[in-house]
Amino acid sequence: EPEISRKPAVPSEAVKFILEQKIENLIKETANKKKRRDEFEASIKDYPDNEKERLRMLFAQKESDFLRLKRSKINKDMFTKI
Amino acid sequence: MNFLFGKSSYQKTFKPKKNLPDGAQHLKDYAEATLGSGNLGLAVKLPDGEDLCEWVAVNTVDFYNQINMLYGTIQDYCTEESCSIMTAGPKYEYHWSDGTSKPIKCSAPKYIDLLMTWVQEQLEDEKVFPDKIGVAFPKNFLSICKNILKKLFRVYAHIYHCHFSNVIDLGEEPHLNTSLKHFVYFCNEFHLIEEKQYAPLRDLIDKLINKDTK
Ligand SMILES: [Zn+2]
Repeated sequence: EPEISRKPAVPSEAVKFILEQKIENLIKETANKKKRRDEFEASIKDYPDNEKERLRMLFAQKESDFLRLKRSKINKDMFTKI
Repeated sequence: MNFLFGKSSYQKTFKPKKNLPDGAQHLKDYAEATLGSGNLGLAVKLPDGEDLCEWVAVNTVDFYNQINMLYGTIQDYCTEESCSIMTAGPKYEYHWSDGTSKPIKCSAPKYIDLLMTWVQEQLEDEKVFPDKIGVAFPKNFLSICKNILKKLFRVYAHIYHCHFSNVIDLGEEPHLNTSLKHFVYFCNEFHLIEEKQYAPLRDLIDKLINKDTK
């Protein structure tokens, strides 16, 4: 009779897949972030300097808010699934 | 003089044992196995003008998540019998303390369970990791994250030293290496971990990082 192997607590294949996706997304997201910033900079190039500064702060704030939403989403996902 | 409280928590929970051979020499031979070819050094940088705390927060949650998953895959091999003490090779032994309690010597599964629960409690605490837009981080947020990351590193160190054969059996060494590399790049970028904490994986880390800078 073949030995029954115990299933690991967390399946390795799934974890490997998730981590592979994660690293791919990390690199993609870095590129996307740069693209968003470049496009934003292009869109404000004709504004006066003090207005540019104000818009840059708004842009950075929006990007930071986006990170917060992403974090609270990851947080909720992982504590419900694992 | 106060013998009970005079030591820093570093000294109390991190016990280098002198004069023992380093069992991790072989680990660096696996440093070539990593995922992807993207630039992690670039990916960890704080985007222009963005909030440092927010950036550290999202990444700390992410590393907790990665380590939780990686440890989960080898958890069945990490038992009271196989790992009766929380070590990272013969030279390093960790004693658990959440910073308020007296450090306790316990098994690796117990230590890691206490550690991950302690981290999770903080990640879920909205006073530490606010999740509503517009709510500020606490003043000591970065030092809280430093403490979390320092402790999370010990899980990598334990996996490498005590479960690397399990990791190889599962074909997970590129994933583990990449996760550690990302972690170290991130911590180094913002000086979140003291170099001496890396001692149990020093050679491997040097090799993982050098591979990119050459
Ligand atoms: Zn173990």
